[in-house]
Amino acid sequence: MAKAPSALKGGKSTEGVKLNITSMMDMFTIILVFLLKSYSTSPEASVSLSPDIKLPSSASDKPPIAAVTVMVTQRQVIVDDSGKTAVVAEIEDFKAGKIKGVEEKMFNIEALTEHLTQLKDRQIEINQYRTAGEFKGEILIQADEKIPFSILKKVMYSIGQAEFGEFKFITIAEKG
Amino acid sequence: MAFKPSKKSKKEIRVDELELTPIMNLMVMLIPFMLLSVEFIRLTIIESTAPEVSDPSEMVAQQDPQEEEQQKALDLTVFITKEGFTLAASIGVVSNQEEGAEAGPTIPLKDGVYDYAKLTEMLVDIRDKVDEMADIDEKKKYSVILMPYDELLYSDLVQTMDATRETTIDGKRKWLFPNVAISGSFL
Repeated sequence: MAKAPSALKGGKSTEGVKLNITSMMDMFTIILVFLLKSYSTSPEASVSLSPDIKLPSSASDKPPIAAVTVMVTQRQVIVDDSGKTAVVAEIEDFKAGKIKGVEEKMFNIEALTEHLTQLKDRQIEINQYRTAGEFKGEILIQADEKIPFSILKKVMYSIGQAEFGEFKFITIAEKG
Repeated sequence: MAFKPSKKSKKEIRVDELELTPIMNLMVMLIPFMLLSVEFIRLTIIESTAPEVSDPSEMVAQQDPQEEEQQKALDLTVFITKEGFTLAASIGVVSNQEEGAEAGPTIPLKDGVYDYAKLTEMLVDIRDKVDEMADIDEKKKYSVILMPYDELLYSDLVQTMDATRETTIDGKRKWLFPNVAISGSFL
């Protein structure tokens, strides 16, 4: 730290500490330009991703919408409704497609269907008070890329039972 | 031409230090704001409409019997098995049954992985044939039904959906069968 020269001069006008911040300005300018380039106001900021899920990549280009999300990790099935998450099922062995509480040949994950039916009823109730609103049954599905189809099949069936028919699978956009 | 150095006493030019405070202020405001809305990964969605489920053991869409008689439906189905892709359709657009062809998948695995390029190629042919057909059920014209086997990984399923939905030919985007439905238990 530079000592203010005034102390040594004994009484003369104080000089401030000279801080050389031009290099920091350089850095800030470059960072700002980079951030300006990747600035985005799309609604996908509201889609919260689960850290346990590694999403597959796809060449699709439709942006996501805000809707109820079902997350299928390697160990759990979670329903996320605008930030409120609820674990509805545990996956015992994801490679073998075994979900706790669901027998081999059965498709229905009851807790999932129940939870979604409640959300659906709440949405329909809210839509009664809104002029523009009709229950469309849209639901976002996030699944880890290593999930076998057997688990996805059961999840999709259970979601369908709760009358959410418009599936939207979330994927990461491929570059180019 | 060089002049003799002037004998006039040079006045000392004092350069004021650059006033960087206002611009620093701007940076400190803008950068955190930008950081909050930066997008490092872009998310996209693949839409798929669930068919009406009538029987718990079968999730394939059931056609209205009255409609079925009026128009021919394509019912393009792609079975994704351990050995590869098997295509099937109600109308004979899938020309995989040659004389003495083995009863294997239409598009077998290539070097142990799914041959998406070949799948897209065959679908471009089918799409061209479908576009020429006149009396085909409009609503179901560009739909494909995927029937994966149980152990298929989700990433492979998504790549299959990509291969069946669209492709790029000579830099132009060509839609193949964008309406995809996923069905299960074909056994």
